[in-house]
Amino acid sequence: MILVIKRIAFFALTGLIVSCTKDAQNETAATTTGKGGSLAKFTIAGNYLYSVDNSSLFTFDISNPLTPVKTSVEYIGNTIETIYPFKNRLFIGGANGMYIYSIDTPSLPTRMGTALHVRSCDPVVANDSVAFVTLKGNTLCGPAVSGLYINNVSNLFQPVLRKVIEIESPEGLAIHDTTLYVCNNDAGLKIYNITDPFNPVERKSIIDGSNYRDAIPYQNLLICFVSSGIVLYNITDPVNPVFLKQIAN
Amino acid sequence: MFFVSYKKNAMRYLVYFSLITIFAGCFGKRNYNYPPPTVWGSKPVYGSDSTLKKITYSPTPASVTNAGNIYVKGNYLYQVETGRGIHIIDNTVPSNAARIGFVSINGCSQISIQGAILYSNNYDDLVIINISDLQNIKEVARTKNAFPSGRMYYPNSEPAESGYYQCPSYDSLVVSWVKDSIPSSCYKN
Repeated sequence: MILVIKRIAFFALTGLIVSCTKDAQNETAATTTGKGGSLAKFTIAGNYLYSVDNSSLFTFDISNPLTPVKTSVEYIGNTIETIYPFKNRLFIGGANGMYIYSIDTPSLPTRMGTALHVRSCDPVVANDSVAFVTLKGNTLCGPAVSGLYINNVSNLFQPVLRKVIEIESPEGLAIHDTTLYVCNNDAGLKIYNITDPFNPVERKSIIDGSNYRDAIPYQNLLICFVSSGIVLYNITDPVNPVFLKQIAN
Repeated sequence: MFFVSYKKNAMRYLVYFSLITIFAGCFGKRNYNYPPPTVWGSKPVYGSDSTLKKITYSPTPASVTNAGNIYVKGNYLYQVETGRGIHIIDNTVPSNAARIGFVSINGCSQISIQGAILYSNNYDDLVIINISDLQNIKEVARTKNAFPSGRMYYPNSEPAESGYYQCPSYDSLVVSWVKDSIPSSCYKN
């Protein structure tokens, strides 16, 4: 039992992979796709829209936007929360764990690996080899230790938790090349260098009174969802964001 | 021997009962007394599908009261106003970024954009909106019942406050709640 819990904790850490460097991956020859944050329940990959509700994954062929075709409904588990695409994989975060799906056949996602953990809220981001998950183990979300959980996902069928970094109240997160942004609610925004993804080095912590919930790196901008509005930073130097604007609610 | 077996069964039923109660707690507890006693609580006010499933656009900024997910494409940012629609922000010059309009989508919580097409949820429907002309944003297609649970679980499907409420009929969509004498059929913690 303790071994199971240890394994679960291990997987949780790897959640946050740097897909931010791959803005271009969302572009096809004909159309471009926008970019959402790590709290999203909708995502588009190729010509398919993938959506999660509380328990299931829905797939729609949107090659003709006027006539979407639902091609798959896949039951995943309880309290499913977020969905994140990377190349031909979907990383799905839920209160009980992280679920990895293959979209090699885009109309029919199939389960690859699962990293279960003790109950908590968790968005996940990933790249080729690492999945970073933030778990918030407060009374609403569950008993897990709050923090950044880093999983090795080089074998997608067997995610392996490699490290846990305790963080007060982590929520959304994002990868941008070798930089990891972790939103930490009232405790602000944490910025890590993840050149060695299994040993993130904290480079900066922005604490400015805003409650940081999610962040999207996009070209040279960091777009932050805070409780009081949207904050924009220039991240030409990714570990030293330069404040540009706050759009108040 | 008999006592041990009884205890095992009792434990098993206790676990099942706890699971059911926990699940009931997720979505509002139901009162299994029939008929449920009348109490002072929250009563649903329904809207018509024809009104609630209509997408409208106003090219003037609206304030954010229920901030939801953010999204970006090109020179524009988007933010969900949970349960009500999507704010559009002109980000051509980020230091001057500002909201410029609001797409009204009841029951909305998500957004994705491909090309000039915005996808969102209008309760249980997938709604497809053309945003190529920012002065003239409109629905161009709809997939009905794409997300069946979206008809049961949406921001107004429970009252904001805790206490007894009348379980809503799933045939109709709730737009608000009022206090009244109600059968105590549901309870929110």
